Amino acid sequence: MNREINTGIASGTIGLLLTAVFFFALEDISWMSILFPKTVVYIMGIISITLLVLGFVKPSRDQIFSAGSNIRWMVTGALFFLWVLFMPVLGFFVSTVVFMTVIVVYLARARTQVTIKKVMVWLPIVIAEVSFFYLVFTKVLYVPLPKGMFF
Amino acid sequence: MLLETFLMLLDPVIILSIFAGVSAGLFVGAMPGLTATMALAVLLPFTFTLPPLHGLVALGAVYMGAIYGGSFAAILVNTPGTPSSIATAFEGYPMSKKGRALEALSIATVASAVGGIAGSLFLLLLSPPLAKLSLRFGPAEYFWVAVLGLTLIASLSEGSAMKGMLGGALGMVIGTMGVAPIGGETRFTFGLPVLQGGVAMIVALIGLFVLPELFNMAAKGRTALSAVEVNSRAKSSFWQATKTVFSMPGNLIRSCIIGEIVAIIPGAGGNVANLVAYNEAKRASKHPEKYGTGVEEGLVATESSNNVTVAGSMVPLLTLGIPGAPPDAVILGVMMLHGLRPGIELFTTSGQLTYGFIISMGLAAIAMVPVGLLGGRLIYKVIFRTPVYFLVPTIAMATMLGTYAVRNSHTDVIIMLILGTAGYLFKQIGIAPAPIVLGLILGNIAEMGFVQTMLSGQASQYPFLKLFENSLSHILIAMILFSAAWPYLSALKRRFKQRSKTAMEDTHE
Repeated sequence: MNREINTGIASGTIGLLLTAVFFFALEDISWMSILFPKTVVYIMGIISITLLVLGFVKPSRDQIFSAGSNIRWMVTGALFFLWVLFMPVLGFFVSTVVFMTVIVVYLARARTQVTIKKVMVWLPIVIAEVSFFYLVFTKVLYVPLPKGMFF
Repeated sequence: MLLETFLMLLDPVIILSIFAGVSAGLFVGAMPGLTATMALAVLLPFTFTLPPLHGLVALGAVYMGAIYGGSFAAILVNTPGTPSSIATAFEGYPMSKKGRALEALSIATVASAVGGIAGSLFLLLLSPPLAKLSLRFGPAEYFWVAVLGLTLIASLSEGSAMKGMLGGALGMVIGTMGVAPIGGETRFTFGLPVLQGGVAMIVALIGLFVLPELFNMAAKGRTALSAVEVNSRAKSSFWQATKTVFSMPGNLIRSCIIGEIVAIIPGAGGNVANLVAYNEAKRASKHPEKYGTGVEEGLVATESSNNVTVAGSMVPLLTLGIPGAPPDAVILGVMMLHGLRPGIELFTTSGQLTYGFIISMGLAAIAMVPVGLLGGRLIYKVIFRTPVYFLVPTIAMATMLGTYAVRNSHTDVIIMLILGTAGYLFKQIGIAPAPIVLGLILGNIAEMGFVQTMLSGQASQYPFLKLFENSLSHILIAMILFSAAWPYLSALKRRFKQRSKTAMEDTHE
């Protein structure tokens, strides 16, 4: 599939959208607090318009999302978000063991045939790894990791 | 006195403290998200029971090891372990992709050791005059230093400079989110109280550098290291790495001087020094177009300059009591705890202790070589042998932990994921993460300098003229103009050379 696009126009459009988001969020506060952000937002707008104009005058076409499987990175990304969202509910330890195992199994499918036997080998490794980091952070570094319904 | 002090440092307990400190620092620095400041803060209570010299020596060694440790993750997984190793990833990771990871690690080790020793020598010999220079930096000069740093965007933007500038501006806007440093009001919170604290630089750094790499690994189903055969003839031994590092004396000296100059400016540390040194190395190179493909010069420049800042940033700390970089504030706390007050007394009444601390940092730099070479090989083997389906979630867990530990904030982890995903999408359309991070780092310095200058100029009709008043500002402005014009000047020079070559060929025909 050809995924070649004009990246000048794409980056200019995204830049303009972000400029609009930040421009409308500019509040009426004292000049000391707003002077710098306001200036930078205007500069961002000017750069975005320049990129758009250059995109039309001197188009630069580049391949995007051309490396490997897009489904795989998107699913991995979604699993990362779920992992973090479930952290306060299940607690750091449990959520990390669950989601790490799911990600290991999901990504392993692309390289090897996943069997129950293999999962049974991977699971203790995941638990050992998470336990090590959990103990280092809570007992040595005194970082209070999120506690959920378990611990 | 120096000889006596040196002999005092040969005490086995002190030597052991140095090796233990460097090893602990290396481990923390290699973990993305865990910074040198955090390493020092965490290990601080362990030094309370030690005599002052032993405690300071151990903390100095941790600091040195942490800054160096950041290069491991940068070289092996394209993730700067600390903000001081951002530019290390630009050359170190491409070297790894070519099967030269061990060579890159060895070069980084030697360059870091040289930088660490140079920083200690600078501190030992140049403290008083450098401290005077650092006093001349006012808000206007800080603003211009930040602008000078922003001119690096052109070389960090991997292609289109305009896209790099958009990334830089975006980084600056993200950096302004939360409470204003002067004025105290909140900006860009979008009605969300969780955004009042703003986006911590380290959170953005982790997200923008680590997540795109993890997504890349997931998409490809392999790591950069597993994709290549290790080059068995790679120059990975200590001696060969030493030869490589010392084969570019100009680059080494320039990078050390840059590191020292940046270090004495309070607020700017290894995070700025490594980028400036990289940019200057690229600019001075005969083959700037090869940068980004695994050039040893770039790696030497970043790793030597960031380790110079470790001892270098102690100049304003020991002489004026101003921490040159955040980790120095922890060291200042330890000094205060032991009744040591920065200033001339430190070099007279407590001379042996102060000089002992300075020399110990040089010894810590030397200790990095055996610790780093062994540790580097070990970490490399672990990463090389771990299948990608284990590596991706393991790195993700380490980055989540690192992000969370910055402020014990779950929101920071969510922000990291959002920024990382956006960073991956931006990368596809040509907006690299480096300019965004650079904007974030320098935006804060620029804002402080800019608004403070405007405030101090309120009495005059044109407050902005305050920005142009001092001679140091003029020098910095000249440097900015030169730096900004350099890509065009060198392009012009190349074109001119090409034209004269063609003309010569025509004449011969």
